[in-house]
Amino acid sequence: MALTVKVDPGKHTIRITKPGYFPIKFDITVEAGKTYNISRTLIPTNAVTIQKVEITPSSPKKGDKITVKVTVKNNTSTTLKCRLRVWIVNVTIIGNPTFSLGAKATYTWTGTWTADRTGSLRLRVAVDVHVEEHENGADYYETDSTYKDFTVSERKATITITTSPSGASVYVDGKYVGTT
Amino acid sequence: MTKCPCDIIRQIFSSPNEVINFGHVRKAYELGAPKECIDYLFKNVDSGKTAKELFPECYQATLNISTNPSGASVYIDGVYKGLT
Repeated sequence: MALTVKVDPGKHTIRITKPGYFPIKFDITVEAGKTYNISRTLIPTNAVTIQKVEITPSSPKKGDKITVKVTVKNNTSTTLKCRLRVWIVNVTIIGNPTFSLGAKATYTWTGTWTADRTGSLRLRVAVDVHVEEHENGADYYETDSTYKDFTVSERKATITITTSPSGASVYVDGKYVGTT
Repeated sequence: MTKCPCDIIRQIFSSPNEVINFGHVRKAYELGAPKECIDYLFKNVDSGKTAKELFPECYQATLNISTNPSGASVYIDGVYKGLT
């Protein structure tokens, strides 16, 4: 159903809001005696959602190349311009690709990071949608986000010790580690 | 419904806020306005109304606003106008 409004000639600012959708705002210049049909498709605030986040290997060691795979889905019936933001909190940005996502389509992005440190880390993923007429200006606006914690451990070397004869006790850095 | 063609109204009133008087009726007659129009103008000569009040369709535009989904609130120049 359309809303019919009479306005004076000149420039007017139209703002449209609905809970659960991004508010939009745009200007229109009208002439007296004319009729203007204005139609807009509102973008839900959950238009694109994150379906899956995978980190491989699941227990990485320092120096490993870590692969991050993110799958997002467009829940609407219109093609949307999207942006993915993938980063490790307080460490690095893994990627922030932009892409067009068709109606009801899914998209999988893969990025890599070489673990240059050990410890507990948090991977954050957010997906944004470009809202051309957003009341705060045309930009990307977040529709979903998530995080995944993982730990990068120290990579250990393996020492194989043999003695002749066998049965000797072995100490490494002053600590008994076993018998050959 | 327009009782007078808007092109005639815009010629006989110099601005939308001009208050109707007998001179406007005479001018409408000279421009060949329909009898219905002249009668309407004549009837309103002493009403104190402006051209815009008498002929809003000649001085305003119509906006038909629709959204998908419907049920959205519409504000024009900061003033709430209704739901789509």
